[in-house]
Order: sequence, then C-alpha cells, then structure tokens
Amino acid sequence: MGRTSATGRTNGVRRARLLAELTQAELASSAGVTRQTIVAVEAGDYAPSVYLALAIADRLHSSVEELFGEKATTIAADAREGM
Amino acid sequence: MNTVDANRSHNWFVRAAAVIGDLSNPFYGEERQRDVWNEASAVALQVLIWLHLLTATAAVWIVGADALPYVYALLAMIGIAGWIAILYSWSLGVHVEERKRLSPRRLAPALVLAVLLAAGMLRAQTGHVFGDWSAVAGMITGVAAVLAVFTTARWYARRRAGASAS
Repeated sequence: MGRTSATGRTNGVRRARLLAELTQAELASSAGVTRQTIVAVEAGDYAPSVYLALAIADRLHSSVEELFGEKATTIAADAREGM
Repeated sequence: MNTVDANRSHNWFVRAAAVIGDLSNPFYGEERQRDVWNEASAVALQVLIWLHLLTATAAVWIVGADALPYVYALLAMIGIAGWIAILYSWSLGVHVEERKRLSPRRLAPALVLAVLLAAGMLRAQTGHVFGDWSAVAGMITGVAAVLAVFTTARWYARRRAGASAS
C-alpha cells in the first residue's frame, strides 16, 4: 500500500462540500490543489496533510475533526452502505 | 510545502540536491502530486538499479573482458545515484538502511545477482572464476572499503541528527 493511501478511510468532505454547494473544482481552487486531489480525498484514497485538511475545513466552514474524525468516518461509511 | 523548507537552514549537500532535483518547482507545492511523483520516482529508481545490475551481469558473462569498462561505468552510475539518495535521506534524518526496510525476500535476489555479477567480473578479468586470488582479494577489499565508508557516514549522520535534535 502506497504512502499516499488513506487506507480506505471514509470522511465527511463530500457531504460537507455538497452542503456548502461547492463543486470539486471550486473547492480545489480555493484550497490551492488540483481537482484530482479533492476527488482522491473524498474517495478516501488520499490522506491530506494537516495543512490541506485545515484549508479544506476552512473553505467548507467546518473543522478537521468534523470532516476527518471518527464521527465523520462513521456517517460517511453509513451513507455509502445506504447507496 | 516541500520537505526542504526554505526557512530552515540545511547543509550545502541538501541545498545542492534541492537545486539538482528542481525541488522548488511549483509542481511540488501540490502535496498529492508531490507524493505520487515521489512514489513514481522510487519505482523508477528501483527499476533503473535492477536494469543496470542485470545488464552488467549479462554483459560480463556474454561479452567477457571487453565489457568490463562499461560494467564499471554502469556500477559507478548506480553507485553514485544510490549514494546521493541515501545521503539525502540521512541528511534529513531518514535512515533507509534500517533493518525493517530490508526484507529478506527483497534482499535475496539482489544478493544472488551481486554474487553472479562478482563471479562474472572475476571470470572476465582472470579467465577463471576463482583463478586469480589477487583479484578476489581486491574485490573483498573493495567491499570492505564500501562497508567502512557506509558505516562511518551513517555514524556521522546519526551524530549530526542527534546534535540538531538536542
């Protein structure tokens, strides 16, 4: 498993982004990363650095704990299973 | 943000390596791009090392003595590239040679290839695999010298890291 992997962990980024009515491209642009990075973060394929996590949380008017904490992980996993 | 922070003072080697590697390129500012490219570069370095070793081994066994200058050049190239990678890592406190990274499963084929290459070089140089004991002694001395340099450099890097941590 590669270093860039987030070991399949889910998170609340997608949910928070949709609530904030932002596209992946808009979030990426305001956080200073590429859209592919946001796609990878939302899919749980990439664990962002603390700086990127803070930037994403700031743009989504949320906190790192809310987006990547245990609770967010559980909610996102439940939402996926319900799909 | 790069590993080599512009606000931190690094030694000349790290600064030179950053220039050679173009590490201040904006491409490295995007963290996932940097991580993926680092992984891709690690794969490419492994592939290059294996291709060099395989080519060198095949050359000494197939071509013989005429291939030796080119084999030495190939070995020097991977030696220099490998040393730069190790020294760069040491300079930033990462010890890639630690036991947990060197799994026997990965080490075994490399050792087999190294023995094949050494035997091929001896045969190409002397006409017999173990026919010329001075060549064998020279090879053993060379390996011992490399190990001595490796151990000394590692000791120095650890001492330096310890000094900067305290």
